[in-house]
Amino acid sequence: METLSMLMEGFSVALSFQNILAALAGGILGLIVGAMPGIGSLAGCALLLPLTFHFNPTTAIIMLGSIYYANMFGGAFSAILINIPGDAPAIMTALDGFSMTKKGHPGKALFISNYSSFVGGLIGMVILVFLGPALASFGLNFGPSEMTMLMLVAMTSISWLVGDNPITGIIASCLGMMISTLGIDIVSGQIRYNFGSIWLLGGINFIPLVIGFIGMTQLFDLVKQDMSGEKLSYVDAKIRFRDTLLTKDELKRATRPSITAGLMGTFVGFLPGAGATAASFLAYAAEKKISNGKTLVPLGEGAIEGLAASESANNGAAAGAFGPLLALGIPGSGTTAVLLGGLMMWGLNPGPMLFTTNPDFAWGLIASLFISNILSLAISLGCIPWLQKIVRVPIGVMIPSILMICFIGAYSTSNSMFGVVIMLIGGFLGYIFGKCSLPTSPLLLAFVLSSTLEINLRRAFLTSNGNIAVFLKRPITDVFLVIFLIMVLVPVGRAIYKKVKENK
Amino acid sequence: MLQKLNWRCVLFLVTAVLGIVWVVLGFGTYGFWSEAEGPGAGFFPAIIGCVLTFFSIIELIKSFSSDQVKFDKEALYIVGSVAGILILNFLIGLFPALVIYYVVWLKFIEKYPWKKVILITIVYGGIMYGVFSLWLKVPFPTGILLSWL
Repeated sequence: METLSMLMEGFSVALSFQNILAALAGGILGLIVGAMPGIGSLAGCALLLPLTFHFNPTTAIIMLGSIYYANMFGGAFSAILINIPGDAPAIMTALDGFSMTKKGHPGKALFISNYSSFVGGLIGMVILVFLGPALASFGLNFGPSEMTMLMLVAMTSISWLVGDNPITGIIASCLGMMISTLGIDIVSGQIRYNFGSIWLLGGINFIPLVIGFIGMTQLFDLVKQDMSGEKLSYVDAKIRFRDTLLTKDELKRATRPSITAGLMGTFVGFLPGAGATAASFLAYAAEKKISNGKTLVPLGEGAIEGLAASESANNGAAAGAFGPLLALGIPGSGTTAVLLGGLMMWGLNPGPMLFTTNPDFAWGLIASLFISNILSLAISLGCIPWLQKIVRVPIGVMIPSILMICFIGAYSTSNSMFGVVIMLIGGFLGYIFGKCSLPTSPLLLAFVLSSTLEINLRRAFLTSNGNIAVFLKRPITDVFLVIFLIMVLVPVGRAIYKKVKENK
Repeated sequence: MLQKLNWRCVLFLVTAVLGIVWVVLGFGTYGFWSEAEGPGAGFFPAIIGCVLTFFSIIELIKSFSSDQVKFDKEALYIVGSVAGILILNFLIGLFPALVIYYVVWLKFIEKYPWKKVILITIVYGGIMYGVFSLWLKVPFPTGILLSWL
């Protein structure tokens, strides 16, 4: 009951004229940026972050939350229409969504995507409302040792989520942590690893790094497609609103996967380090098992169920990721890491005390997510015919446009060419890493989580006089230790078992 | 020559060396541990360096038998674009440099007619300039030529 009254208060904050306008602007911009192939929600939020600097913290974060949420809607547009996922979570969306487009049903695919995104998001937000504060009060029990173990689990989950070779995930995570150690040591104030450069004294700014690693790296693929003369505009027919409407049977087929994937996605979103991409992958895999041959067409060949599962999980996770972000200060994904950066820039420290010290802000943000969800649905359904024109921007125009926004975005975060240099280094490294199968997302997530891990690790050792048993003495650390060991040992055991089986 | 290099080997060799540098500086220069103050500024980076070196060596060994990494020739378009923008930025400033690059790309790489090039540049460049320069008041660098003027 108290939760509902707090939510109502949140609505009274979020429903102010200025905040609705900010949410609307964020929704439109987020959809446009999310629909542009190669930018995606992570780079989209990073690029649009400077736009929020002119508002008060509550309005600014409401706008950013709206951008983030609408990005998740928009990411599916290019995946469905031109087979280029606007962001990583839309990769699974492209499988069935683009197949539907090729079969002549782009409008229906877009409608299912929007409907499922809405359902998944709604489920995520309802869970967030009831579990967010619980998670916050649970988070009050977290001391340095608990936070250290939690961060270790988060770091490990990032590494193990990156596919066949977890070692490359660990290497990428270590590189991210190493980059975060450049500059002044937060605990002692000592200058370290600056190699005599004054530019490195302040450390590395996250946003140019993200723009480089994500936004600029995409250009290398786009330019290859462009030069090979690959046609990207598969959609020639006009998409009218009435063509997008679903039949009763189609709606029924989309609803069940939307609910199950929404629940799954939300819980994956709550896990630090997992995020919307992992959620859409897991929900799609689960849907494949659940529907096992019961769909009209197989998953991956234009199945409504596959598209609904991917999109619902993606948006459920987007809402769920706000739980650990607000209650514990832990970003569940790269995009929420950008949001965390934004929160910190406005002097707000997410964590167990946020719901007590800044209830207006925390509940206003949660309420604004509900509003953003409805606004995004309305805007995206109404704008389908116009939005498809944006995603059909020729690749030859897209390339210089993305490079231009990379330069401007990187420069404007620090008003210095050092930001551009970081972006360029990130861009070229991202390309080389991609070619060498070294994943970049663990690097970015580890970069963000690293300072929290370091501070808590050192505090834990300081308070225990260097006794490593500090990580074994409390029940929460024990639970995390078990999770950590399972996450480390299960893949190793599986690899050994596979090797033994092969040798037989 | 560049194509013959095993880039996975090079990459993991570099990460292994970086790991060693972080360990050496962490232990030697920044301080790993002191009796009075506990973990020093080099404590965490040294541990990360150890982990990185260990796993980089494993990947380095594995990479000897891996396939050659092939870079795309088309990537040179991006390298050239970046180099061009940086040189122009030095001379005339960032925003004009980006606009010139935009026009050159559309006209000479994509071979669009002038009318289309000008229209797209005005619309997109106008949005960028309006948002970042006029609204957000980002002070873009002006370059040496414009500074003289």
